[in-house]
Amino acid sequence: MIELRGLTHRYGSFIALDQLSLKVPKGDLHGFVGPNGAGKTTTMRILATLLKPTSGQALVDGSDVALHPRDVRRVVGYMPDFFGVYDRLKTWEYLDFYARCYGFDAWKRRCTIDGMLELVGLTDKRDNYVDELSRGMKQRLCLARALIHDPALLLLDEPASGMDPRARSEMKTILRTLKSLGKTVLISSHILPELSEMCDSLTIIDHGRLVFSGTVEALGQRMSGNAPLSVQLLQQAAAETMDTAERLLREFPGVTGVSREPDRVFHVSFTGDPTQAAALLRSLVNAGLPLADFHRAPVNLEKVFMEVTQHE
Amino acid sequence: MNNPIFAFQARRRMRSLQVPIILTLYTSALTAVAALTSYARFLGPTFLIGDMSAQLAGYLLVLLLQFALLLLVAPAVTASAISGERERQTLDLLLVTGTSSLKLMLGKLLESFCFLALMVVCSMPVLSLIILTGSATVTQVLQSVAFLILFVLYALSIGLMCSTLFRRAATSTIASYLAVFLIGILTLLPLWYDVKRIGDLYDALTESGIQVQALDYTPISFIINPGLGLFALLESQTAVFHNSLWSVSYTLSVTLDFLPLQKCVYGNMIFMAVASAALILLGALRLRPGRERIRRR
Repeated sequence: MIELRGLTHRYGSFIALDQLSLKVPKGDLHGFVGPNGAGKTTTMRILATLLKPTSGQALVDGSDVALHPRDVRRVVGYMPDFFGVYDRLKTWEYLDFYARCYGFDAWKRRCTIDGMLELVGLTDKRDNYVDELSRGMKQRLCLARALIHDPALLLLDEPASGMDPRARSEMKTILRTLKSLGKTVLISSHILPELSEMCDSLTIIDHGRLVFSGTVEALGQRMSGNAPLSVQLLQQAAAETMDTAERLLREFPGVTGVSREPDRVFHVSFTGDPTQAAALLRSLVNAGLPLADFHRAPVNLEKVFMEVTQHE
Repeated sequence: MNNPIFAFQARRRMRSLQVPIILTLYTSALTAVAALTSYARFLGPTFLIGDMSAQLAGYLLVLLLQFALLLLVAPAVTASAISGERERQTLDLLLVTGTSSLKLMLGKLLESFCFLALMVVCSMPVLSLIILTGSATVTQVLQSVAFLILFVLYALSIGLMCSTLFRRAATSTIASYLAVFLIGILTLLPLWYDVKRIGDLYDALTESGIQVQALDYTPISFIINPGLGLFALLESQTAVFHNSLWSVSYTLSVTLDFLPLQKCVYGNMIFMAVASAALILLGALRLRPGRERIRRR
């Protein structure tokens, strides 16, 4: 559905996107992650035909965004990170206006508006003025606006920013519904854990360059090699036993550091693969150590994000 | 009308309190001027020629006041049309719908135009009072209304063009007034050349012993400056400025009767229509998606 080929965009001398290449298949709920200034909004705006790339190609459903923007606009629904609403306008009138912009006749507009309001849970707010809605409701209304022409691709630029936990949860539910309807969704955020919960695949960019693209599982596997091993001995283990365990751990190939934690736990920095981890476990058992627990610490996605984007 | 922007903007504007307030103030000011001049006439015990001139002054005052008020209101009406969308962060939402930038500009222009045209139409009962008292004919009043309507279109287009250039509504509003002021001043400059040329032509004809009936010269400044266009319109209708021009320009006061003033008025109206169209097209070109620059994030 989306294909970027060496996409580059400059604002004067500043390079916002640097040879970005990416593929998002149809029906995918794809997370687009990066710190502020990474180039997420620029990519989204190029895909929404609001910006022309300096070089490279961006294809949406096979159409080049720079050469065939009209075709692209028909299949794209865009929700920007910051957006305003009009005052002195009711919720249904707001949607009616955008439906008119897409050339819908009166009957189609009425049916579509009711459907959209139901999808985003704003049916009871139909006759409320738009500027009186809460932020979360405005976000949902904007999502309904982006969906009004039944686009195959949705570009959501940080849709959950500034939302309270309840509103975020509601947004996630709506996104799952959209996925079940077969929509392709590209959703950006600078919070990796938030996206990893709901996305099929992820792309991480930093300074306009691609850092990672693949499934959430692949990201976890790639990064879990760096996750520390947690080794715990039974509570009755003597101090000498603890010393022996630490010595054995330090001597094992692939171990780069060992730290003692409370409750007789060791955190072991280990660069080995799962087979080597199994060998380490075997050596500890063979040494007669009273092991209570041995596992890889779960991947901390926030830490992963900091590592891959090289930020402190 | 198949322009969603037009219908949408009109609905929002008509819900605003500004509309009845502006219309009330506008018609009240015009009515006050018309009523005062009529009152002066009917106070007199008998009908005198002097009363007639008082009524003529009423017609002139009403038209000049209308011109001034529209000049004051028109740039502000459209100055925030596009910059306001940018400020509100709704412009992108409009552009991604596939609505062309020309359609967007035309929708905004027509909606503002209808509002100001409504102001002009609301002033017609006041003007009809003037027709009733015989100081201007129906044709003359309609011609004046047509002139004012084209002037409104021109002023709105300037405001709309300025609106495409700036991000902030306040900045574009100030820029619109400055632009209107500058256009007024700059288009007045050719008047020096025109006066000299008219004087030369008149002198050449009188020196050769020909009795001057008409001067075959259309002053460019009367075509491109709306203020001079209005002057030409009022002079062609009432000839009241003829005697008061001595202190301003001797040449003009002598030659005014021989200038093609009607031609100047129609030329001015055509110029305003063409300039409006050009400004709207330029604004639409500037507004095309892909040309917008965004803040770095």
